[in-house]
Amino acid sequence: MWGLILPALVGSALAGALSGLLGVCALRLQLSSVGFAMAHAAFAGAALGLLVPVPPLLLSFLFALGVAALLGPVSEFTRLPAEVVLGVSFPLTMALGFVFLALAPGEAFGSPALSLLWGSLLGVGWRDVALLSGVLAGSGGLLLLFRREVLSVLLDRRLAEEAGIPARPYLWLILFLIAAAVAASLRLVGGILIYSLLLLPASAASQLAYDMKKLLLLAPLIGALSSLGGFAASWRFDLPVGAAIALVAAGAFALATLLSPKRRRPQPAK
Amino acid sequence: MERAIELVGVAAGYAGADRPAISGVSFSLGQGELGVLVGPNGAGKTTVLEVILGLLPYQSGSVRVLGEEVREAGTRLRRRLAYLPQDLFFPPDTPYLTRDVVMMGRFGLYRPWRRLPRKERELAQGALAGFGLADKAGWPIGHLSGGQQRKALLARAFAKGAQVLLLDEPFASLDPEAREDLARAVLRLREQGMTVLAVLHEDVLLAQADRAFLVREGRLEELPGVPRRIHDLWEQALPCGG
Repeated sequence: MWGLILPALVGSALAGALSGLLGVCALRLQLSSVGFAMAHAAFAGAALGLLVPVPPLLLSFLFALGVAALLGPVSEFTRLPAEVVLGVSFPLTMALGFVFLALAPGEAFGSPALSLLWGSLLGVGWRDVALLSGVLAGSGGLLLLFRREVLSVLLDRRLAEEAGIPARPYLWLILFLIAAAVAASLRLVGGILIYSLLLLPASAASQLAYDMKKLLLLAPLIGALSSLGGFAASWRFDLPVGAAIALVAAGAFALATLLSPKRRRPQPAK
Repeated sequence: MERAIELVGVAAGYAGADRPAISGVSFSLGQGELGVLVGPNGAGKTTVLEVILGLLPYQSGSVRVLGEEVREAGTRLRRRLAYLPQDLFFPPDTPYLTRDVVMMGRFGLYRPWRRLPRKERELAQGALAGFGLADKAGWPIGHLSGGQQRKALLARAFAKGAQVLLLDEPFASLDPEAREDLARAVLRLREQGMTVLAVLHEDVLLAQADRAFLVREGRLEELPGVPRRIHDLWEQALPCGG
């Protein structure tokens, strides 16, 4: 039994940490729907994988990275606001996903691509764990290496430029890391609920910390704990894993809001 | 006097617009001078600042700052400039400490893999102390008042060692006391040799300005003298009320 549980357990902790880390960036960029759009793009990629002889996981990554490209270089070139690009890409990729499923041979609703929408504990193996570890190590490493540049861009793009930091490449780097995190976490959490794992731990952490450096440590921790808690609940009560993780992450956010020093009323001077 | 800023026949604009936001703009500002840009909204004042900073490419003409052509110097030149954008106020939940925002002005000086020397933190702390914000260094930047946030950004410019300071409506949304306080801080920077170019809609700083430029409909002209009050300028130069 542990052979089945262990990769899923480690994988959920890694997915939580990764989503928490990149969720802080998504939140600062005010791109709350970015996870949603990228997850559906990854779903469309996986569905295409049923039609063409290319691994669905690879196509998931390529489609999610495609949304990052639309948000970065293409949005810049066409001068379309990010929210418009996200608003267009979400229904487009969702529709493409279902068209690919309908065209795929066999029963569409039992297909492995559709499980990417809801997430599945049983689908997680050591290869997924290795992939999540790699993406987490890569993202963490790049964010650490370029921490000053990323922190500057996340504060204000104009101030970053004023400091002599070219904001555009770092903004694109952040978008591509978010896409990679979404695609890597998809099999575990599912496309619909990755959105919650990306934003809830980051939102919970932002209730507790005033400093980006603390936020970037706290959010992955909350993400990992939420994932483990959701995983345990899913196993114990036979719930869909993505939904259980989202519920625990929402609980963590509610708790953080209650305990937040930001909610405390100022004390009168003695 | 050596020129800190020199624009000759500059035209620049935004993509999609049917005509350039500014055209034929020529003026210069000597080192240590305080120049003010005045004029109605939408006249092109912010565009002039963005061109000087290199944030907006210019289609024709020449823009030289501290002896370097902006188009060729790129981000390297920006490390010697400081800019206070018009609408930049940090909301209360901004997760950055004031000291860090000041330090970040110098981040462009270091390669990503280089460790930030300890002196950077002391430099930021000292700069904040110089602007009366020593006790606010460890506060989240969003917890400072609007005037204090602007002063923290001036401290950032000072810590950065900027030689040119570009201010876009720095006194907007501030109460009279905060305006005076901020104006004193700007003048201190000029006394230390910093060249200052400010877009103004208020009388604050006008009396101390060395030169004034009127911008309207994308054109810039130097005024024969610095007006004492913006209102006088409206009456003389823009009889229709701008």
